[in-house]
Amino acid sequence: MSRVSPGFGNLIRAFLASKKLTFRAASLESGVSAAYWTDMASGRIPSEDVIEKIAAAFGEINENELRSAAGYSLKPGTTDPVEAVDFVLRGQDKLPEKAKREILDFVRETAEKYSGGKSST
Amino acid sequence: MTSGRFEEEAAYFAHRAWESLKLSLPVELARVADKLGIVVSERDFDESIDGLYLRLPGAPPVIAVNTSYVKPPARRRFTLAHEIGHHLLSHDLNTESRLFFFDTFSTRRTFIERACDRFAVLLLMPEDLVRAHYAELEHNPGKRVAVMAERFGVSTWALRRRLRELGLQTRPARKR
Repeated sequence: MSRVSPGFGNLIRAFLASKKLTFRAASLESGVSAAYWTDMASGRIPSEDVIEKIAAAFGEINENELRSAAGYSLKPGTTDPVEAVDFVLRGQDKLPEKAKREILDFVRETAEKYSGGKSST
Repeated sequence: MTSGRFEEEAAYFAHRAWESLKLSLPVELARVADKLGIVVSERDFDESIDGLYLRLPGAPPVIAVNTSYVKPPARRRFTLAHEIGHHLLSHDLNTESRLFFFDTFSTRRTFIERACDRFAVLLLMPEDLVRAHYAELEHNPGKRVAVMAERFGVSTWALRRRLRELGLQTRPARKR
């Protein structure tokens, strides 16, 4: 039985609405069936492979945002420290958005300051 | 790693810092951080944030302490000591790995967070010195906590807690 998350469903619906995509159109674009898109819009958590497919098909959608909403860990190989910290902060519901932005700004500034260094996970 | 091991390591690192750096009161946290190669940054963050520890590959470890006016100096010192604890307690991780801890009023009190608090307590208020100053101020019990907090560079709240933990009275005995 698939896991269900209303938050994930909201994210999918908001994405489709912003792109004015029907389930069928999303299916044609991504190679994920329309029925599967319908289920995801209702909150069904897809496999990590499906998330990767969707992110690959739509450049505007952030794979780690989908992974976070689906309860998966940070995508292996993510090298951008800001993205990695952003992933950690997504789950912090009690932390004000202002605080999250400030932390991300600090991480970004630090990463830029030492940009001669290589990033890894 | 078990919570017990973290706590033991916290005690070991605090003891070692005092021995190797020949520290005195109040502990010069900037010197401790500097010795460890940590860059300490002060920042006016949202009041929900106390501080953070960040380690990026190719960069020195960085601690940011919130200097917002709602964070008194003693609180900032405790935060800095706590973040130094994060650095030391993650010493066995690959130095090229990315590491990020942040501390807020709502940070979950995991065993690593508790161990970092423990490190801060032991670094800022070593038992032998707490006992020695407590005894020295024996004849001034009314101001003892305030004077000791000043000497150790901690809040009176943190000091009272430490005194209680060591079985020392925090209030003058009632006159008969």
